[in-house]
Amino acid sequence: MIGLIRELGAQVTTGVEGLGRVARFGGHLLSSIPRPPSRFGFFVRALFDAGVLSVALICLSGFTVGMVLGLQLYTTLTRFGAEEGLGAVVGLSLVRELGPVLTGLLVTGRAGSAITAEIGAMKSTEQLDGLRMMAIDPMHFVALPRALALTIAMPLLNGLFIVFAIAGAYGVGVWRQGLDGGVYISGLEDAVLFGDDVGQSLLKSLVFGLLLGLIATFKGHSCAPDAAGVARATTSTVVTASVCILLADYVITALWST
Amino acid sequence: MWDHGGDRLRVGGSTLESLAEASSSDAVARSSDAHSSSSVPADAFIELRDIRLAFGKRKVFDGMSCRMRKGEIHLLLGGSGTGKSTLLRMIGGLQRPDSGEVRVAGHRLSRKNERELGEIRKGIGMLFQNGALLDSMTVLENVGLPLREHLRKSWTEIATQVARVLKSVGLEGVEGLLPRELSGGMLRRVAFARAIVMEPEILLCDEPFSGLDPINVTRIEDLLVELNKKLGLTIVVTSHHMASSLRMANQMILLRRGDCIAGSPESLAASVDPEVTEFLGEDGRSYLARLHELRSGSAS
Repeated sequence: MIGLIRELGAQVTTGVEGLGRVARFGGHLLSSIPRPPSRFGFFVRALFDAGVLSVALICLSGFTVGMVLGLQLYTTLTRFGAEEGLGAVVGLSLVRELGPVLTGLLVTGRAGSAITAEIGAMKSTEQLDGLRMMAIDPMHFVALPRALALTIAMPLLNGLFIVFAIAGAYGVGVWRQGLDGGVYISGLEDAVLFGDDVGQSLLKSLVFGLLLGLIATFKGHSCAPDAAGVARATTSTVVTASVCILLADYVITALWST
Repeated sequence: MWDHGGDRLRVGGSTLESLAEASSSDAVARSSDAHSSSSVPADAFIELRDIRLAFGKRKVFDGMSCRMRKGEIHLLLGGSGTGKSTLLRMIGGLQRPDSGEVRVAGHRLSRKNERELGEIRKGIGMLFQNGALLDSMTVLENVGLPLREHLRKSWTEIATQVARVLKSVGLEGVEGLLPRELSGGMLRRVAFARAIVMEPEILLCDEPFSGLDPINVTRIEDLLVELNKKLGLTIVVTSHHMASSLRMANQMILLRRGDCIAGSPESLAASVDPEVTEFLGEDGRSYLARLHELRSGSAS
């Protein structure tokens, strides 16, 4: 029994220590934003890696999710004679929930894991120590541009995901199921409010990007400097960031509703 | 070979020692770093005092102490796992000991935060065992990075300076290549060029000769000696390349069982300590004896 309590205590202490390290890392990251020199070139390169290289995946995923959503919802709505509401339901579910969450999970799998692996590899080959020995802060040089790039890329990719998903649902609802195109669009326009729904969507994706940027760079920086350590950190980034995104989604939705 | 063009960096215009004075005068009463405001003794430019360090259950250092004189070449010897690379990392402030004190030019490194360590590191160049070049950057960007960061030079000026440093390590026309496009020997020489491009006061070299052909071993050895003679660099080298290392070293530090034996090459060659004789071997001892004869002959 005492052993169990001791084990539990150790787990809690480790967890709290971990949170403290993340908070300290985040604080260091934030405090290095205004510090010169500007890392704009590295930021643009990181934005290209995290954003532009994710565009195809996001568009394709968005389109297929929209198609599935169009098909499922049309069938369900037909049962209640409410198929005209397809545009509204698709729009609201995508803008409020599916867009930011699915984009967050997809970007976590593609760009977040890549950033952790890259920083982890830099650590295991002493590149980060090399930077320190040149009196260059690796946090400012390596982590900051990548974390900022993820934060900026996420809302943009979210917008792209939603547009393609709406198009996918339109394709299925209008061309395959025979719903009137005007009805679909007007339903969408009437239901989705810019301030309430689009604002919530943007806020969510911004928070998800921030969380992913923090987690991906932290895991890379704190991984064991060997191949197994990098692999563990990459997996941990995907798991931790995915759970954090889902939790944050609930928290933001709950706060927004009150 | 080495023409520094009079623009040698001294940690933003001051030396490591004057940096120590400045930092301690800011906080005379606050810190016992006030110690460092007095001039640093020449024979303890780098000093390790009662160092203890363990990785898990494995003790690497167990009360090790040694001093390194300014402007000399110090050779770290020892078998695998005796802590040669770790010692270099401690001098560079990358590794903190569990207890004990590391002083570089009067600075107590264990009392410095990362920002203060950064200022000190501007006066230290380090060649890592595997090069540690940034693999997403070209040779020019890698070698020119510290110049760009700290001296804010234009890329045209940087390119000229980088080409000169690369030439001194026997490389030409490789500026546009990425590290993965270089051979092992070229990679080490690029890393060496990056370590010396800022003309530091202290140069830490982890196995500078490994993976090099005999011509380039001689080239790097000559360059190290030249940097030491012309610019007065304090150089700390770990190496298994005995001939080159013994030729240039002023002091040899043999690491063993958590401690060390230090002395001039001649004194270690004359040592009857079984571990020293075993490590140097008959070849090393007779080589040192010949070297000693040559040096005394040329001196007389």
